[in-house]
Amino acid sequence: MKLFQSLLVILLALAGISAADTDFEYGSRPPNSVFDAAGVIPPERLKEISEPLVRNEKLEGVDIVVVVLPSLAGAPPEHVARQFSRAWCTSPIHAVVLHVPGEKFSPWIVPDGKLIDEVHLDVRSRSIADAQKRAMREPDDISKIAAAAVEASDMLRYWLANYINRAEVVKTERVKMRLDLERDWHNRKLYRVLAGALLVPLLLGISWLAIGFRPRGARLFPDRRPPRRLGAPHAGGNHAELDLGRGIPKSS
Amino acid sequence: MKPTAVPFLVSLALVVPSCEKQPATEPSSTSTEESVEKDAWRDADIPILPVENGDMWEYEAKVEIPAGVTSRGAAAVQTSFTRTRRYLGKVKPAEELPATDCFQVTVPGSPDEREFVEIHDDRVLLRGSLIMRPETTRPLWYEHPVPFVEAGMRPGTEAPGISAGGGAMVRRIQVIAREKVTVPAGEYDAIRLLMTGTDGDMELRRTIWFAPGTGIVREEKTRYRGDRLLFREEQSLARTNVGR
Repeated sequence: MKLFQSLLVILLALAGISAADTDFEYGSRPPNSVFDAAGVIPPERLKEISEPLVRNEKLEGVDIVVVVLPSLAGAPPEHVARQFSRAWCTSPIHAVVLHVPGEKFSPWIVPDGKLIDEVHLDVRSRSIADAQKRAMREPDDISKIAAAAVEASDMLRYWLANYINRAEVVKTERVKMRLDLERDWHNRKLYRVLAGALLVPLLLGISWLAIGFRPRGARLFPDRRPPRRLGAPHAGGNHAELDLGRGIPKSS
Repeated sequence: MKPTAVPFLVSLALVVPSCEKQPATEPSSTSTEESVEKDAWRDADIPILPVENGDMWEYEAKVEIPAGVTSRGAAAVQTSFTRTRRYLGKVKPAEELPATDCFQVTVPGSPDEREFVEIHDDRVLLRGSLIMRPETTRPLWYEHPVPFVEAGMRPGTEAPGISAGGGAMVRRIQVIAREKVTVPAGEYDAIRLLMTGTDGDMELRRTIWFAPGTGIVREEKTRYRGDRLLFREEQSLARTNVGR
């Protein structure tokens, strides 16, 4: 019984794996990123095409899959390419290079992924059209495939690096703005402290002046000089005054 | 309230709001790291092409011409040869033109070609070229120097485009990557440039691997006309006396 259960578990596990393989009609992605269902690429050229693709994916995250089919079976090439793309590619920037020997406008380069949307549509369309046109002019199938793979790699590597540069510019600008805000905050604080430092003595001065010149209250005796009376050489009151400058007046 | 208290209260009213919360700033360490990397590239690239009279670069070259291109029914052609580039120093392309850095390119069986450039510590600018045929008297000369390669070039950037001859000649130079490239002369850290453009009715695609401190170490060139490939040429640096 235990043996039967173990075998059942193993069979179910294998069935699960098989189910995953057959989800996509072409099976799982080949490890060298080249799927040659048409059998046109000789082994020595296969390595030459696949090595740079594997290296770029590993080092830069740019994923290119080359698919060679004997026929499109009437389906639009972009549709076929996207089926492979959805099944086999997970990188945010990837492309399928699809070639069908004998097809007039083959090979096709079909980029996809989140980051592809960051490339302006006009730029994207023109670049793809130029790349496909150059690859199409190659004299044989293998050269077309090799050329298209290189074109797709260069294009996606350039777009990815360009996107990174733009993102860095945005980040740098954002940091600059934050630093400007911080500098402004510091300046405002400084201005307020300086304003306070200047204003205090100013207000004190004004206050003292205001105190000094304000009308006197009831308990304050103003400093008044009593006038002379009846021509007397001296004034009365608390402030006796004698004018020595004019001498002693004659008594009348 | 005492009068002297008034100025104190006023100053307090001015200073206390200064104690507001400081705006949060993002850490700038990431952009600093990226700037440091960019500067490190630039510093490592300089001098970008330290040349002396007599400096030499020897390339192993291979040309493929598809069938039917040279003439109707002609077979495909594949041939290999050695191309040598030698630095001549400052040379005047023509009487009325200024002396500028000059490389002479030699291919057995073909007329020599002179390439005129301006070499600075941190950049190389294209000025023109001249095929040394008896009937050729004037060089192809760019009125304004055209940037070719610059220290610190970043992948994902593009050099200013070239246009000459009223639009008959157009070039676009994109920086694809910085990568290691292995050639017969060794392994180099190179800037991978993609040059595309037109020469009249001919279209060209040229991938250049330029190693700062050494020069061009590898090149792949294809030319097209109409719906046909005219030829493909590849060359790799085999020998040089220019230091790294």
